[in-house]
Amino acid sequence: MTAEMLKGHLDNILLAILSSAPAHGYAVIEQLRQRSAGRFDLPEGTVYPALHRLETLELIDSSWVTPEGGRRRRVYHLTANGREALNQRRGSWRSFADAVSAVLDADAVNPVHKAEASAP
Amino acid sequence: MAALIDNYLATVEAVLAVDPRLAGRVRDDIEEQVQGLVDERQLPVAEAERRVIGGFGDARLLARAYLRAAWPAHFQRNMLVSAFLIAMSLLCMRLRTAVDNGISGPLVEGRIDILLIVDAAGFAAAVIAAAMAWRIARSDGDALRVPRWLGAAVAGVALSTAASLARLLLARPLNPEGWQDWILLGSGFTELALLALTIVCLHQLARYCRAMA
Repeated sequence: MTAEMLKGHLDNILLAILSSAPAHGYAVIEQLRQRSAGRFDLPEGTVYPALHRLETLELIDSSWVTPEGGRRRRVYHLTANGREALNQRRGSWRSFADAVSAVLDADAVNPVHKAEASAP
Repeated sequence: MAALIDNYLATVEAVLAVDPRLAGRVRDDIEEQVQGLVDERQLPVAEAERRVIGGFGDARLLARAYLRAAWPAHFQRNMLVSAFLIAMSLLCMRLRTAVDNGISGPLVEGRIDILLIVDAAGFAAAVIAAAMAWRIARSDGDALRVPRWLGAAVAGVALSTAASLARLLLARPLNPEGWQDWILLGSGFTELALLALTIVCLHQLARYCRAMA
């Protein structure tokens, strides 16, 4: 999976991660890696500005949390707007992915079309 | 923090001089990431810092990525403030027009004629500059040029207002007891101050665009 293919979907992926539970930046990157089985190993320089962008769009919010005996951390959580946006984007993505699959898999499902098209 | 991180942040902060709050945000994010590696992977601080700098990448590109992330909110805020200031200055202009019932009308001296030309030219330049800004914004062209042309338009209006005020002051002796003159002068200078603030606001927007480009 190339970074180019991921571009445009990063916001949705980050919203989905934060929809399960609030998390700090480091944990978001870790979850992204784990949930994608290591395929989305994105650099911090991509993820943190994206989190900041989502915050300025008011889709997520952040607050400082100091765990017992630890250092304070900025924890991100989804806002009501963010949850609504995520639901909409999930629907759009499923519809888009189904359409792309239908086109890409058309030849695989019905190879006769391909054979007819290449016949002289 | 070690010198490695400090040098990195110094480069980031140089690009983010236009928005110091954002520079603080980058510092927080980097510190948090370093701490995450130290706490959860038990890496030595120096190694964690080296890895984090590698992950965040080129300091200038990172700073621009943060600027782009904050751009919509920054643009909206500046444009809203500018629009408010312009609306207030238009209100002042309207007030002056309503009160100025021919008091500064007929021109008597050559130097006042020149002021009339400056007044008209400033207004014409403002209209042209505003049209240019609109055209560039519509064509989705270089974002940096929009606030510049808008600034030029506001400067044109300010020039026109200044010439109009000078005409008023030169056309006849002011009557300190007449309320109209106080309204004319007060609204005129308020309008100039509002326009100057608008130019500052648009200049800030242009600086932001330049840092982001």
